[in-house]
Amino acid sequence: MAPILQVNRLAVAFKMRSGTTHAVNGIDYTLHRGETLGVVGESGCGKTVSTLAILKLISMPPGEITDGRAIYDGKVDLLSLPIKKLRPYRGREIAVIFQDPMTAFNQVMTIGDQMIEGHMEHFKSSRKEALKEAERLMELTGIPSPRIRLKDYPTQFSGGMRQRALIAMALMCEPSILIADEPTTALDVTIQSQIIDLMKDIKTRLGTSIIWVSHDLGVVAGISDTVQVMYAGTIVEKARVDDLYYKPLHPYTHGLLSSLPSSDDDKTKRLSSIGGYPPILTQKLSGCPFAPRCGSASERCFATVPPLITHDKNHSVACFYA
Amino acid sequence: MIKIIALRVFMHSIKERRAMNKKNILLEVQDLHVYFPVRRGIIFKKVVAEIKAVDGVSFAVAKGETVGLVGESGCGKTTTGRAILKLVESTKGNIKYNGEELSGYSQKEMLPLRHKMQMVFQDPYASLNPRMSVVDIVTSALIEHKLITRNQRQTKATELLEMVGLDPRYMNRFPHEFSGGQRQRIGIARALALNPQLLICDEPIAALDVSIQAQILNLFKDLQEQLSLSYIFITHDLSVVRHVSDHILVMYLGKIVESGDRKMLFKNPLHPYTRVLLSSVPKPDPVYERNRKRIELTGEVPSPLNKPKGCSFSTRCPNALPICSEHVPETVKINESQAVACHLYANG
Repeated sequence: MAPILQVNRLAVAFKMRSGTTHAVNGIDYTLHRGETLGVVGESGCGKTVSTLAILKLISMPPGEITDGRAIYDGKVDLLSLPIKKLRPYRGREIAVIFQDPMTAFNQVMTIGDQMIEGHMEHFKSSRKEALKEAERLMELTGIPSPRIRLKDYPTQFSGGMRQRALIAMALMCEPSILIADEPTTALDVTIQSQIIDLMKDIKTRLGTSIIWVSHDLGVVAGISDTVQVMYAGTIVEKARVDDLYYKPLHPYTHGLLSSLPSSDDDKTKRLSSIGGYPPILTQKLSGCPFAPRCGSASERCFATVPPLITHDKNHSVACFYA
Repeated sequence: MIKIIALRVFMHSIKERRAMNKKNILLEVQDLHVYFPVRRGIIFKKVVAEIKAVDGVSFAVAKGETVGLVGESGCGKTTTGRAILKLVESTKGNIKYNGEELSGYSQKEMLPLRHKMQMVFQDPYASLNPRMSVVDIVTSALIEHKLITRNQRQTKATELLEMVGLDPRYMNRFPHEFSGGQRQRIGIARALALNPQLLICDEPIAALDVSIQAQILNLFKDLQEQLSLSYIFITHDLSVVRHVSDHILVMYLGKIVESGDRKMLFKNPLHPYTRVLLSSVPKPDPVYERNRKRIELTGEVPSPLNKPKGCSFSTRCPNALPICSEHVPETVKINESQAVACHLYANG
């Protein structure tokens, strides 16, 4: 069976008067059925853009998908479709859970009205049917007394409850893929762990494939099957979750993991940090983007972009010295 | 019975104070309350309710020590930090800095003390004036306090920027020309300008990327060694607080529910809330994550407008007893370094 999503050579640029930012530089990735793919990286590395671009959910202009294909279910290339033809896929086949539950809802519509919009549009269902489905999903996502809360406005929900409602809304049309863009970043840790457990539960019950975008290496470790690490608009490493955390091959992944404070270090210990700052992406890459911050970079690293090469057991890395 | 406990607590507090005096206390906060009135109406603005943001918080900071203040959003950790600097007015309680009582001070009387206590803010994008160059940002306080003349600005700025690891050649640039981590360094340089003894750091690394967070944490550590600074480190991130703190205070709904030195608190958390917090922190360890047993916590933090009767955690506590929803638990000292406010430990 074909993978549910196959992305090839995806490149996204933001063309502005001040110059062009190459946010995503020709990346390939695959999402298998029932898999959770974690996408990690620091701000500006292109992790969000590389996933939202599949549904053309980036502002265009200034954004532009300059190259690439995104084959959904082995059948259709989403990137070649005009927006009008893409609409049946948005929310229906691929749904998005946005980062900030405070701003993702329309403040002047009730939660219920927002939840049923997509269902009525895609399934041509009646308001009553859609509301029934909304109620069922709010119950599934752990919102108490869903029938009453459907009539509430977003401001009447707490942060955690809004995130649950957002997940329920994303599930309304039984999508095959859920794109979760930093879904727990705005939440407190105790609420975060509730939401993670909820997502795991949904995955086992509904078999949804998930792309989980996050900067939090701890959260990604808990939820992903496969993890890809992004840096400067490229994928620098991709592996099964255990391989990536226990046997990182790319110096950047290694640096990220060892810069986290661990439970057993004592107070006098300094953290090992990655020196320098991430590059500004106004120029096309002419070498390994991490080379200026890398301890073991050689002349070759500055001259040629290292390709993403698959080593054993689906462990891919873009580094000449891995 | 209650008398005996009260007596014991009293004796303890005397002993504690003696011990603390030996440790050279810099800042002492006693029974701090900050209430925000909720007003209704147009003309009379009647106070209809009070948000009890900070509700009886006591702690002390010794010289050269780092005290970590952890808790979830809305627990009053930031308000506590701000009340110490009188950036918000406290409703009740005492704040002593080097033995000097600050609570009755006007803003004018606070001025000389502002040399001694400075703040590092969370958001390096919002806390720097975009119209001021770096040299102006880091030296404006010095000029305001007439500690340097305008001609000395360059020299002083060079010194400060070097201290925080920024190239002094950039001092004529503006904040937007710097990355988040660099901006936070500017914010730290500004806080250090007056040569303070105490820095109150309010989520100083929350807005930064992981690889930059480690750089800034190391900078805090180096500065503490060089300048023997004391820190109050306010954060929601438990792994960060464990890394930097000597002593940790866990807050929930305006109260300190548990305090302890970093080793004990993480090895042997006592309060059910501390345990829940520790069990919910995700670790970058897939096997640990797969096998983890989270302590299930139902519901959400109650509103500080309408706190539950008794222990404020009782509505969500997995170990709640009938007494918990009746009486507010006293803070009891369990061992040398740990104290907890929970009925489960009320009888020693």
